Amino acid sequence: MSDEIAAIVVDCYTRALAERGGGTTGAAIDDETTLFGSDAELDSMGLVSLVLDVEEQLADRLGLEITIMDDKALSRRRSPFRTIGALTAYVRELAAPVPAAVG
Amino acid sequence: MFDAFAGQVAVITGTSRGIGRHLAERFLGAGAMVVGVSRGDATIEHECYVHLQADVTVEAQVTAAIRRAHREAGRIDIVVNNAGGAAMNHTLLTPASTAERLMAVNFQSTFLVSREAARFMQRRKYGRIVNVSSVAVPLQLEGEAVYAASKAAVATFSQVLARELATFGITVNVVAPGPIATDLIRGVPPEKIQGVVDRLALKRLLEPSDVANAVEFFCRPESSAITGQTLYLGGIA
Repeated sequence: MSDEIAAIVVDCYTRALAERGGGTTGAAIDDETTLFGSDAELDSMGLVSLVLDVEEQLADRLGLEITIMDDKALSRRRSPFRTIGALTAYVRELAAPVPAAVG
Repeated sequence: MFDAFAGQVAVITGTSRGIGRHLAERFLGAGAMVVGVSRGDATIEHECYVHLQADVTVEAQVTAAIRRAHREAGRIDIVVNNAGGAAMNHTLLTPASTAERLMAVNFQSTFLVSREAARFMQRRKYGRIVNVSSVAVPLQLEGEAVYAASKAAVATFSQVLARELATFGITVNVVAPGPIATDLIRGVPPEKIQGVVDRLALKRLLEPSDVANAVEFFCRPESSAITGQTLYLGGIA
Protein backbone atom coordinates (compact mmCIF):
# COMPACT_ATOMS: atom_id res chain seq x y z
CA MET A 1 0.00 0.00 0.00
CA SER A 2 2.93 2.34 0.68
CA ASP A 3 3.95 2.48 -2.96
CA GLU A 4 0.35 3.17 -3.94
CA ILE A 5 0.19 6.03 -1.46
CA ALA A 6 3.39 7.50 -2.87
CA ALA A 7 2.01 7.16 -6.40
CA ILE A 8 -1.25 8.86 -5.39
CA VAL A 9 0.59 11.82 -3.83
CA VAL A 10 2.78 12.28 -6.92
CA ASP A 11 -0.21 11.91 -9.28
CA CYS A 12 -2.20 14.48 -7.34
CA TYR A 13 0.74 16.87 -7.17
CA THR A 14 1.25 16.62 -10.93
CA ARG A 15 -2.45 17.26 -11.49
CA ALA A 16 -2.55 20.21 -9.07
CA LEU A 17 0.42 21.78 -10.85
CA ALA A 18 -1.12 21.28 -14.27
CA GLU A 19 -4.49 22.69 -13.17
CA ARG A 20 -2.80 25.83 -11.91
CA GLY A 21 -0.62 26.26 -14.96
CA GLY A 22 2.55 25.26 -13.12
CA GLY A 23 5.17 22.62 -13.78
CA THR A 24 6.99 24.88 -16.20
CA THR A 25 10.42 24.46 -14.65
CA GLY A 26 10.58 20.82 -15.65
CA ALA A 27 12.12 19.93 -12.28
CA ALA A 28 11.93 16.25 -11.33
CA ILE A 29 9.22 15.37 -8.80
CA ASP A 30 10.62 13.43 -5.88
CA ASP A 31 10.42 13.23 -2.11
CA GLU A 32 12.32 16.49 -1.77
CA THR A 33 9.90 18.48 -3.95
CA THR A 34 8.74 21.46 -1.90
CA LEU A 35 4.97 21.88 -1.43
CA PHE A 36 4.84 25.38 -0.01
CA GLY A 37 7.07 28.36 0.59
CA SER A 38 8.99 30.64 -1.72
CA ASP A 39 10.63 27.83 -3.71
CA ALA A 40 7.41 25.81 -4.15
CA GLU A 41 5.73 25.67 -7.54
CA LEU A 42 2.26 25.30 -5.99
CA ASP A 43 0.45 28.32 -4.62
CA SER A 44 -1.73 28.11 -1.50
CA MET A 45 -4.89 27.14 -3.41
CA GLY A 46 -2.85 24.54 -5.25
CA LEU A 47 -1.92 23.01 -1.92
CA VAL A 48 -5.61 22.96 -0.90
CA SER A 49 -6.48 21.19 -4.17
CA LEU A 50 -3.63 18.73 -3.66
CA VAL A 51 -4.75 17.77 -0.15
CA LEU A 52 -8.41 17.37 -1.19
CA ASP A 53 -7.41 15.35 -4.26
CA VAL A 54 -5.17 13.03 -2.23
CA GLU A 55 -8.04 12.42 0.21
CA GLU A 56 -10.39 11.65 -2.70
CA GLN A 57 -7.93 9.31 -4.41
CA LEU A 58 -7.20 7.48 -1.14
CA ALA A 59 -10.94 6.88 -0.76
CA ASP A 60 -11.54 5.89 -4.40
CA ARG A 61 -8.44 3.80 -5.03
CA LEU A 62 -7.68 2.35 -1.61
CA GLY A 63 -10.96 2.66 0.27
CA LEU A 64 -9.26 4.81 2.91
CA GLU A 65 -11.36 7.61 4.35
CA ILE A 66 -8.81 9.89 5.90
CA THR A 67 -8.81 13.56 6.86
CA ILE A 68 -5.27 14.77 6.26
CA MET A 69 -5.61 18.31 7.57
CA ASP A 70 -6.36 17.59 11.21
CA ASP A 71 -5.24 19.11 14.50
CA LYS A 72 -2.37 16.64 14.70
CA ALA A 73 -1.02 17.71 11.32
CA LEU A 74 -1.19 21.39 12.19
CA SER A 75 0.42 21.03 15.62
CA ARG A 76 3.55 19.23 14.41
CA ARG A 77 6.81 21.11 14.71
CA ARG A 78 7.82 19.85 11.26
CA SER A 79 4.88 20.32 8.92
CA PRO A 80 3.74 17.25 7.00
CA PHE A 81 3.00 19.61 4.12
CA ARG A 82 6.58 20.80 3.53
CA THR A 83 7.57 18.25 0.86
CA ILE A 84 6.12 15.40 -1.20
CA GLY A 85 8.09 12.96 0.99
CA ALA A 86 6.78 14.46 4.23
CA LEU A 87 3.18 14.36 3.00
CA THR A 88 3.55 10.75 1.80
CA ALA A 89 5.02 9.72 5.15
CA TYR A 90 2.20 11.45 7.02
CA VAL A 91 -0.50 9.79 4.91
CA ARG A 92 1.17 6.39 5.47
CA GLU A 93 1.06 7.10 9.19
CA LEU A 94 -2.66 7.97 9.06
CA ALA A 95 -3.38 4.91 6.92
CA ALA A 96 -1.48 2.48 9.14
CA PRO A 97 -3.60 0.41 11.51
CA VAL A 98 -3.06 1.28 15.16
CA PRO A 99 -0.43 -1.18 16.44
CA ALA A 100 -1.57 -3.58 19.11
CA ALA A 101 -0.30 -2.87 22.58
CA VAL A 102 2.89 -4.78 23.39
CA GLY A 103 3.46 -6.61 26.64
CA MET B 1 -45.10 21.61 -8.14
CA PHE B 2 -42.63 21.40 -10.99
CA ASP B 3 -39.46 19.47 -10.30
CA ALA B 4 -37.06 22.40 -9.99
CA PHE B 5 -34.53 20.26 -8.14
CA ALA B 6 -35.05 16.90 -9.84
CA GLY B 7 -31.96 14.72 -9.57
CA GLN B 8 -30.35 16.95 -6.98
CA VAL B 9 -29.38 15.98 -3.45
CA ALA B 10 -30.01 18.38 -0.57
CA VAL B 11 -28.53 17.93 2.90
CA ILE B 12 -30.62 19.79 5.47
CA THR B 13 -29.81 19.95 9.17
CA GLY B 14 -32.43 20.10 11.90
CA THR B 15 -35.16 18.41 9.86
CA SER B 16 -37.05 16.85 12.74
CA ARG B 17 -39.25 19.92 13.25
CA GLY B 18 -39.96 23.57 12.50
CA ILE B 19 -38.35 25.22 9.51
CA GLY B 20 -36.06 22.28 8.82
CA ARG B 21 -38.95 19.93 8.41
CA HIS B 22 -40.75 22.40 6.19
CA LEU B 23 -37.62 22.87 4.07
CA ALA B 24 -37.18 19.12 3.67
CA GLU B 25 -40.77 18.72 2.52
CA ARG B 26 -40.40 21.64 0.12
CA PHE B 27 -37.28 20.21 -1.52
CA LEU B 28 -38.86 16.75 -1.68
CA GLY B 29 -41.85 18.33 -3.39
CA ALA B 30 -39.51 19.95 -5.91
CA GLY B 31 -38.00 16.60 -6.88
CA ALA B 32 -34.83 16.57 -4.77
CA MET B 33 -33.53 13.70 -2.72
CA VAL B 34 -33.20 15.01 0.84
CA VAL B 35 -30.75 13.82 3.45
CA GLY B 36 -31.94 15.12 6.80
CA VAL B 37 -29.55 15.34 9.72
CA SER B 38 -30.69 15.77 13.29
CA ARG B 39 -30.09 14.33 16.73
CA GLY B 40 -33.50 12.73 16.91
CA ASP B 41 -35.39 10.14 14.93
CA ALA B 42 -36.84 10.79 11.51
CA THR B 43 -40.18 12.59 11.46
CA ILE B 44 -40.52 12.53 7.68
CA GLU B 45 -41.52 9.53 5.64
CA HIS B 46 -40.87 9.83 1.93
CA GLU B 47 -39.26 7.56 -0.62
CA CYS B 48 -36.66 10.21 -1.41
CA TYR B 49 -35.89 11.08 2.22
CA VAL B 50 -32.91 9.63 4.10
CA HIS B 51 -32.49 10.45 7.77
CA LEU B 52 -29.13 10.48 9.51
CA GLN B 53 -28.84 10.87 13.26
CA ALA B 54 -25.92 13.05 14.26
CA ASP B 55 -25.02 15.87 16.60
CA VAL B 56 -23.94 18.57 14.15
CA THR B 57 -21.78 20.27 16.76
CA VAL B 58 -19.43 17.25 16.97
CA GLU B 59 -16.76 17.10 14.27
CA ALA B 60 -16.45 13.30 14.06
CA GLN B 61 -20.22 12.88 13.79
CA VAL B 62 -20.51 15.51 11.07
CA THR B 63 -17.65 13.99 9.07
CA ALA B 64 -19.23 10.55 9.30
CA ALA B 65 -22.73 11.82 8.45
CA ILE B 66 -21.67 13.82 5.38
CA ARG B 67 -19.52 10.97 4.09
CA ARG B 68 -22.45 8.64 4.51
CA ALA B 69 -24.81 11.10 2.83
CA HIS B 70 -22.44 11.27 -0.13
CA ARG B 71 -22.03 7.50 -0.23
CA GLU B 72 -25.79 6.87 -0.17
CA ALA B 73 -26.84 9.69 -2.48
CA GLY B 74 -23.80 9.73 -4.77
CA ARG B 75 -23.56 13.52 -4.77
CA ILE B 76 -24.32 16.60 -2.68
CA ASP B 77 -25.67 19.66 -4.51
CA ILE B 78 -27.29 21.65 -1.73
CA VAL B 79 -26.66 22.18 1.97
CA VAL B 80 -29.01 24.11 4.22
CA ASN B 81 -27.56 24.68 7.67
CA ASN B 82 -30.86 25.16 9.40
CA ALA B 83 -30.12 23.53 12.78
CA GLY B 84 -29.74 26.11 15.50
CA GLY B 85 -30.76 27.22 18.92
CA ALA B 86 -31.70 30.31 20.86
CA ALA B 87 -31.47 31.56 24.41
CA MET B 88 -32.77 34.95 25.42
CA ASN B 89 -31.27 36.42 28.53
CA HIS B 90 -29.57 39.52 29.83
CA THR B 91 -25.82 39.13 29.44
CA LEU B 92 -25.30 39.64 33.18
CA LEU B 93 -27.43 36.56 33.79
CA THR B 94 -26.04 34.35 31.02
CA PRO B 95 -23.90 31.38 32.07
CA ALA B 96 -20.76 30.62 30.06
CA SER B 97 -22.20 27.21 29.23
CA THR B 98 -25.09 28.90 27.39
CA ALA B 99 -22.66 30.99 25.34
CA GLU B 100 -20.64 27.90 24.46
CA ARG B 101 -23.75 25.95 23.48
CA LEU B 102 -25.12 28.73 21.28
CA MET B 103 -21.82 29.19 19.46
CA ALA B 104 -21.70 25.43 18.95
CA VAL B 105 -25.25 24.90 17.66
CA ASN B 106 -25.38 28.06 15.54
CA PHE B 107 -21.83 28.62 14.31
CA GLN B 108 -19.73 25.49 14.82
CA SER B 109 -22.39 23.27 13.22
CA THR B 110 -22.59 25.59 10.19
CA PHE B 111 -18.82 25.58 9.85
CA LEU B 112 -18.48 21.81 10.15
CA VAL B 113 -21.31 20.81 7.81
CA SER B 114 -20.28 23.43 5.21
CA ARG B 115 -16.66 22.28 5.31
CA GLU B 116 -17.41 18.59 4.98
CA ALA B 117 -20.02 19.04 2.24
CA ALA B 118 -17.87 21.48 0.27
CA ARG B 119 -15.11 18.89 0.15
CA PHE B 120 -17.45 16.77 -1.97
CA MET B 121 -19.05 19.69 -3.85
CA GLN B 122 -15.69 20.99 -5.10
CA ARG B 123 -15.08 17.73 -6.96
CA ARG B 124 -18.06 18.42 -9.22
CA LYS B 125 -17.44 22.18 -9.29
CA TYR B 126 -21.00 22.83 -8.16
CA GLY B 127 -22.72 23.57 -4.88
CA ARG B 128 -25.28 25.70 -3.08
CA ILE B 129 -24.82 26.37 0.63
CA VAL B 130 -27.44 28.35 2.53
CA ASN B 131 -26.91 29.31 6.15
CA VAL B 132 -29.35 30.82 8.59
CA SER B 133 -28.70 34.04 10.49
CA SER B 134 -31.22 36.39 12.14
CA VAL B 135 -32.58 39.93 12.18
CA ALA B 136 -31.30 39.93 15.78
CA VAL B 137 -27.91 40.88 14.29
CA PRO B 138 -28.80 44.23 12.62
CA LEU B 139 -31.50 45.02 15.22
CA GLN B 140 -28.98 44.48 18.05
CA LEU B 141 -31.71 43.12 20.26
CA GLU B 142 -31.21 43.54 23.98
CA GLY B 143 -31.39 40.23 25.79
CA GLU B 144 -30.03 38.42 22.74
CA ALA B 145 -26.39 39.47 22.85
CA VAL B 146 -24.94 35.96 22.68
CA TYR B 147 -27.55 34.68 20.23
CA ALA B 148 -27.01 37.69 17.95
CA ALA B 149 -23.22 37.25 18.18
CA SER B 150 -23.49 33.60 17.16
CA LYS B 151 -25.70 34.54 14.20
CA ALA B 152 -23.32 37.36 13.23
CA ALA B 153 -20.59 34.71 13.19
CA VAL B 154 -22.69 32.67 10.76
CA ALA B 155 -23.12 35.67 8.43
CA THR B 156 -19.45 36.70 8.46
CA PHE B 157 -18.27 33.11 8.05
CA SER B 158 -20.59 32.74 5.06
CA GLN B 159 -19.29 35.89 3.38
CA VAL B 160 -15.68 34.75 3.62
CA LEU B 161 -16.56 31.18 2.69
CA ALA B 162 -18.31 32.50 -0.42
CA ARG B 163 -15.00 33.98 -1.55
CA GLU B 164 -13.04 30.85 -0.71
CA LEU B 165 -15.42 28.54 -2.55
CA ALA B 166 -16.23 30.72 -5.56
CA THR B 167 -13.47 29.08 -7.58
CA PHE B 168 -15.23 25.72 -7.11
CA GLY B 169 -18.60 26.88 -8.44
CA ILE B 170 -20.06 26.80 -4.93
CA THR B 171 -22.22 29.69 -3.74
CA VAL B 172 -22.74 30.51 -0.07
CA ASN B 173 -25.62 32.71 1.03
CA VAL B 174 -27.52 33.56 4.19
CA VAL B 175 -31.20 33.85 4.98
CA ALA B 176 -31.84 35.96 8.08
CA PRO B 177 -35.46 35.85 9.20
CA GLY B 178 -37.36 37.76 11.83
CA PRO B 179 -39.45 35.88 14.40
CA ILE B 180 -41.17 32.77 13.06
CA ALA B 181 -43.88 30.76 14.77
CA THR B 182 -41.77 27.72 15.73
CA ASP B 183 -40.54 25.99 18.87
CA LEU B 184 -37.58 28.36 19.00
CA ILE B 185 -39.66 31.29 20.26
CA ARG B 186 -42.21 29.32 22.26
CA GLY B 187 -40.64 30.34 25.60
CA VAL B 188 -40.24 34.00 24.71
CA PRO B 189 -42.84 36.43 26.17
CA PRO B 190 -45.33 37.62 23.49
CA GLU B 191 -44.62 41.29 24.22
CA LYS B 192 -40.94 40.67 23.52
CA ILE B 193 -41.74 39.09 20.16
CA GLN B 194 -44.15 41.93 19.35
CA GLY B 195 -41.36 44.40 20.14
CA VAL B 196 -39.21 42.79 17.46
CA VAL B 197 -42.04 42.58 14.94
CA ASP B 198 -42.78 46.28 15.48
CA ARG B 199 -39.27 47.12 14.26
CA LEU B 200 -39.80 45.29 10.96
CA ALA B 201 -41.55 46.76 7.93
CA LEU B 202 -43.76 43.68 7.85
CA LYS B 203 -45.84 43.69 11.05
CA ARG B 204 -46.39 39.97 11.37
CA LEU B 205 -44.68 36.78 12.41
CA LEU B 206 -43.03 34.99 9.52
CA GLU B 207 -44.08 31.58 8.28
CA PRO B 208 -41.68 28.69 7.59
CA SER B 209 -42.71 29.00 3.93
CA ASP B 210 -41.28 32.55 3.86
CA VAL B 211 -37.89 31.12 4.80
CA ALA B 212 -38.20 28.19 2.40
CA ASN B 213 -38.94 30.55 -0.48
CA ALA B 214 -35.72 32.49 0.10
CA VAL B 215 -33.68 29.32 0.60
CA GLU B 216 -35.04 27.85 -2.61
CA PHE B 217 -34.14 31.02 -4.51
CA PHE B 218 -30.50 30.79 -3.44
CA CYS B 219 -30.39 27.08 -4.27
CA ARG B 220 -31.57 27.32 -7.87
CA PRO B 221 -28.94 26.44 -10.48
CA GLU B 222 -29.61 29.79 -12.16
CA SER B 223 -28.65 31.66 -8.95
CA SER B 224 -24.98 31.01 -9.78
CA ALA B 225 -24.09 34.73 -9.73
CA ILE B 226 -25.50 35.26 -6.24
CA THR B 227 -23.02 34.55 -3.46
CA GLY B 228 -21.92 36.05 -0.16
CA GLN B 229 -25.33 37.67 0.31
CA THR B 230 -27.45 37.98 3.43
CA LEU B 231 -31.17 38.23 2.75
CA TYR B 232 -33.16 39.64 5.66
CA LEU B 233 -36.81 38.72 5.87
CA GLY B 234 -39.50 40.95 7.29
CA GLY B 235 -38.33 44.28 5.94
CA ILE B 236 -34.98 45.36 7.30
CA ALA B 237 -31.73 46.30 5.61
